[in-house]
Amino acid sequence: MTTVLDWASGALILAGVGFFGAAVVGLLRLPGVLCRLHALTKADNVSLGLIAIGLALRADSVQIVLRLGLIWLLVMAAGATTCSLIARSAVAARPRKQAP
Amino acid sequence: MPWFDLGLAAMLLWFAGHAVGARRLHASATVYICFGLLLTLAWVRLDAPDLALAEAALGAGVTGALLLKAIASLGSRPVPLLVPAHDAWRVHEPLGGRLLGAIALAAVLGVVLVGALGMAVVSLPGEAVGLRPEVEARLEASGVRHPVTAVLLNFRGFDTLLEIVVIWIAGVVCWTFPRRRELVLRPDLQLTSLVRFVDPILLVTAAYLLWAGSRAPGGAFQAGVLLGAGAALRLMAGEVLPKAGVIPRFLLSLGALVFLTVGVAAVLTGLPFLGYGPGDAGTWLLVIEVGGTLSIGYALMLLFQRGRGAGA
Repeated sequence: MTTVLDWASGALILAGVGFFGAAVVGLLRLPGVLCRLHALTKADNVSLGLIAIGLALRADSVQIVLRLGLIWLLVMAAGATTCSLIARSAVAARPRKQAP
Repeated sequence: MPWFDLGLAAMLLWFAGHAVGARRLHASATVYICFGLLLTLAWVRLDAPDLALAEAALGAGVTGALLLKAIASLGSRPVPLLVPAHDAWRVHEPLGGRLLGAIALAAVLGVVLVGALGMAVVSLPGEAVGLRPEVEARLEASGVRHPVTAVLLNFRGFDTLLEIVVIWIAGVVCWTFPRRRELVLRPDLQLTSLVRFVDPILLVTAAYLLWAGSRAPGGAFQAGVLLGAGAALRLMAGEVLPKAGVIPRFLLSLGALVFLTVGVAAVLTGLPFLGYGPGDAGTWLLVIEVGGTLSIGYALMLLFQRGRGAGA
């Protein structure tokens, strides 16, 4: 029974690392600030969530599972807010275009 | 397993190089924050969770935020760091003689320093025991159950007292800055929502770290940094924090005052300075830590404010 949990947690953690890799590729290759923010917020939500769930399957107690959930929640909150702030400042820094 | 440590060390060097050599200050500060987080991992690998907590909170978090704030107040034009160049690492102009000489001297000194440190590390005994047996022998009498806290607050309490006085001086220096016209932050809805969500968590976690410092990594510094971070977040959200008055001055001085009072009270009861009676140490250490937490949090908030809103 424990081996099933091991395989499941390993698969989830690997999937999370894969999403992190995709986010890094997006950060490096996508054009513009807004597209890169798209990639980074996926890393915040999905990949950290997959890794947190994978680690939670290996946890010894409920306390650790709750802590992992709280960490994920806080990172998502911080990530969402900073993403929005960066996007706002990037849009505000654009040179104003003349209306045609 | 050495692969992880080697990779981490290589990444540390890479990030440090980028933090110094980046073309724009903003990139420099951001890479420095990442470097701080990697250093936290390094402390964890070295089995020092207290240092890891302090590094993550102070080194990566607070210092990074202060750097970004300072860069924002410089203006919108990126300031070139090393050489006016079009790329981060390549220079298009031929290197002048003085610059080349300076780089060569820095390289030689760096190699000498690394060599000396390497020789010192290699010549250490294989199994370093240090003072751990002595500390663990007296842990019962120190009033706490965590050896790092016992050393910081009890056995070497005088050093911690001096550190808290230094933090107090930093706060006072912030107050001496003249009031300047700074970026006036309007209350921002997103940051205010984040503050409403995060502030209770910060307060509870700070109280937990303060309480848990007696038996696990934690203590006054980490708790104070969390309080300071919460206050900094409120400042960024546009909330105006109180100007200087009796209460702010009292809050800033509380840590040093409490520590000194406890030390002097010990002398008045016949013990040496900062000595504790049998069985009392735990209570006094908690009192000192509470004062220290409030002062450290307030000093960090003052560092963020840069004297804005405070008068003589």
